[in-house]
Amino acid sequence: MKASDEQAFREFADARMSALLRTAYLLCGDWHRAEDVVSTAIVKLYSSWRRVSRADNPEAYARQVVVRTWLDETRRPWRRERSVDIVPDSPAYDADVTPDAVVRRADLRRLLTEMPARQRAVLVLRFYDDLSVERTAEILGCSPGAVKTLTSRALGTIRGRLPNGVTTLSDLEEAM
Amino acid sequence: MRTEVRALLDDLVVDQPDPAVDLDRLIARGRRRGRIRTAAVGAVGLTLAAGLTGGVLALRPGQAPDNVSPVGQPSASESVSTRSTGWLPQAFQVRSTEKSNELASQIERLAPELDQIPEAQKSNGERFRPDGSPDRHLSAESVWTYPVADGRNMVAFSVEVGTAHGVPPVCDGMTPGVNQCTEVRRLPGGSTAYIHNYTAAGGHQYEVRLVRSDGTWVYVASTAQKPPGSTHDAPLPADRVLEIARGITVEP
Repeated sequence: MKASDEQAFREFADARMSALLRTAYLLCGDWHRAEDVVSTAIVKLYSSWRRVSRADNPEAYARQVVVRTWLDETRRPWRRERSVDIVPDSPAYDADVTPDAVVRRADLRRLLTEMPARQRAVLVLRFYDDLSVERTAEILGCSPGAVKTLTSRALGTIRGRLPNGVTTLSDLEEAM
Repeated sequence: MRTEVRALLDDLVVDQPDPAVDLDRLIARGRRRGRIRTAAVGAVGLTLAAGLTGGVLALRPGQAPDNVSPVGQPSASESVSTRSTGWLPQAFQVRSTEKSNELASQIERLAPELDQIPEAQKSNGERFRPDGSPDRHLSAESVWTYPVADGRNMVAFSVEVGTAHGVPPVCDGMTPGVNQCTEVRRLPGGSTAYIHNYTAAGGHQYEVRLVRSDGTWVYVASTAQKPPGSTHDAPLPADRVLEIARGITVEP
């Protein structure tokens, strides 16, 4: 790689590092693992920097590499997550528990880590990175219909964890 | 709901620590990766040349080609345990053990078809939880990747055996939904097979999680990513995946 290209790559990586780490963290649920994922993605991006730099949206390309790196890792046998494999259909909380004890940061983090990988990826890409259904489908290598189904299921999982009588987070805030 | 979920996700990353990623080190890794790729292309050329030479020698009367081995290929006596797993992130490093070697040997006996995966990288390992808990996990796999027009195809066969403490996700039973199992089969002896077959344009994957009556489990997956233009499918079909899962007797 030419020195000027390497400088451009360095500036790009420096500028995007924090955002990529945040996306990776929401996918992994662990900052150390997020750094592993982003590190691997950065090496891949370096190797294909000529193509990346010519892309219409290098940032989107970088995000795609991060998501796919993470998905690849979840598929690798010894990187496969060891959390529970089935998200319970019923609320995990006692309906009598006060709402403010329910949706805490730790609870959502745990809920995210318990979700199947692709549901979590859809949630992060669509709601955190604000990507369209079509773009999300492209990144995940599936159809837009599958993205919609995964989204619905992920949101259903979140709703299913809310206390009885509370169907949206707005309701929850009102209840509080 | 969109705004609310976004707010919750934002809240999760509000305490982002300062990045500990060393960009210089990653760039150095990227450079090494480039050099390795270049060397690999050269090695393929040498392998082809050696193969052609071997073929010529084999055709010459009175000359046995037995001592001709392709460049870059491990010798038959080389143990899979000596193959590098250095590409694994440090936090997930595993090491080859007697038990994981036993698993690899058992797979070779049960699935001779795997010899047909060209240039498969074989590896095996045993994973221990750092906290010393009794959760133990053996794994062995054969993986081959090759470049296709706009990406890479990964053809892989993986087997894991684990204790009751950590069961890898395969599917969510027969409840309709995205992660519905293809089939949940009760087997003689009290085992249950959770079968999940995924066949789509983006790839094929046949996997089964066999949970034994004592709670230990065997996971077997046969996968091909199959991007457009790829020529190789998953190494073993669904029925063989289940058959092999049932044949694995190594205990974690």
